[in-house]
Amino acid sequence: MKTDDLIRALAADTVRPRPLKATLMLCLIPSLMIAVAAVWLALGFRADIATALVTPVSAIRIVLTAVLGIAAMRIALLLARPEGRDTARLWPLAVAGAAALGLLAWAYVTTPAEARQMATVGKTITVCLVTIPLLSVLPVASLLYTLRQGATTAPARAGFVAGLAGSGLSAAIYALHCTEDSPLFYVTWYGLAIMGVTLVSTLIGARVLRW
Amino acid sequence: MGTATLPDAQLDVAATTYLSSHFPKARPQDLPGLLVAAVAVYKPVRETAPFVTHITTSYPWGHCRLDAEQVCNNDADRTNWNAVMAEQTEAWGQLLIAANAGDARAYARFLQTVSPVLRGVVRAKGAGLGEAACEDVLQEVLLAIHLKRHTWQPDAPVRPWLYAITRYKVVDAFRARGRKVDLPIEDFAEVLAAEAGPDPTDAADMAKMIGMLDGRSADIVRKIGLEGASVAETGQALTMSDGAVRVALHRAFKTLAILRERHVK
Repeated sequence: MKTDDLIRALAADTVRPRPLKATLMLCLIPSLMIAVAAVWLALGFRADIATALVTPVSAIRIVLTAVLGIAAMRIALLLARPEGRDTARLWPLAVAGAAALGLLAWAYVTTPAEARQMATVGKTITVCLVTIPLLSVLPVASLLYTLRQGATTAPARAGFVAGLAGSGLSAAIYALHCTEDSPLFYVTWYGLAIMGVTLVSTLIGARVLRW
Repeated sequence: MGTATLPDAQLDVAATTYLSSHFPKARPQDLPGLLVAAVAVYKPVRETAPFVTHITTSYPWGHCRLDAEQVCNNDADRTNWNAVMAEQTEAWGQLLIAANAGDARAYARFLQTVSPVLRGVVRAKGAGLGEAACEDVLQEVLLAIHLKRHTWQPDAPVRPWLYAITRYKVVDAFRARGRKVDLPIEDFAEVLAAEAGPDPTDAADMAKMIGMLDGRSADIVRKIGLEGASVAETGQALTMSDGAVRVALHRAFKTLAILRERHVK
């Protein structure tokens, strides 16, 4: 087949795929709603949620994880485009990470030495480490699906960012239930859960996002 | 030295010398491909005085690095060069905007306009493969551009988008054909913004893939592509509605992309 013939056939195909942003919203919003509903129905929101949302040390974990999730989502949309490899900058994610570590250091210093271990271990490590990855499944899948509809030229990086976005948002939702208010707890264990999900998502992305 | 009077044979010698000194890593067998690319760029651009006058007298093949920093030694040159590039990019953008709004003719024009440029990129990288195989890779690139055209946003420049797809597909295609591509495409990207001579392919790969589609899809692609039938005519011939032809055609291209990937690996 001559190239001109191919071009003629290509030009006749007027079916246009949906824009990436629309695809993402169509998948991600229901996924997040399901996650909220799951936390609400299976675990219940924390009893003092109204107070917690206005208490800085408690609310800041929702802010941090949500900001991380939204920043990563925006980067994922950039990386879904072929030139995204050159235009997407990952440093905003490092800023969120640095802020979390700063918070951890601050909490370490301000928590009395004898209380540190209890604050770090808390009472709900297992629930936290199981629930956040479970809640992340649908949001991360939404992002990976959108990236697959796109044309990323950096599959592993796109998978990495998708993992951070999905698990960051899921952690923010989990925080509606979790009553562990010490940064020693939540930076450590939320962080570990997010890193675990992100690692898996990176490995999946490297495989499935080629085209 | 007048630009218009420089004979082609002399250009070739100058180009080869230039290329081997500026691309020390290029193997001898890569040079013909680089040369084709350079000539493709050079001929149309030399009409664009005064930049070209300067480039031909001082840098016979300078623009084939296309890196404005290295090509041009003063601001005026750089401005001229950027103007040439910007004009072309803008034209591409307008065609693509019209295409995305549903103008099939603008879309065909867009693909026809970028094909020679992309052909230059492919040949520059795959000189050892032969022209037929390069044309085949070009078709793969065009198919990818087509299937991923929704990833371009009207506010984004066309060129980086186009080259990113091309780079990805070219590296992939040559890797799959057992040839490692060792020259970064950036070296050529900007330079190659010019028409290459038309070159019909005799590579059978795309035709072979079409043969692997189901009968009806293959008929649709052949009728529209080879026979130049319209969607309506195709629908009549196959007793299908226009909508059904369009959907089948779109599916056929998606399937072709998958088939090619499998086939080449």
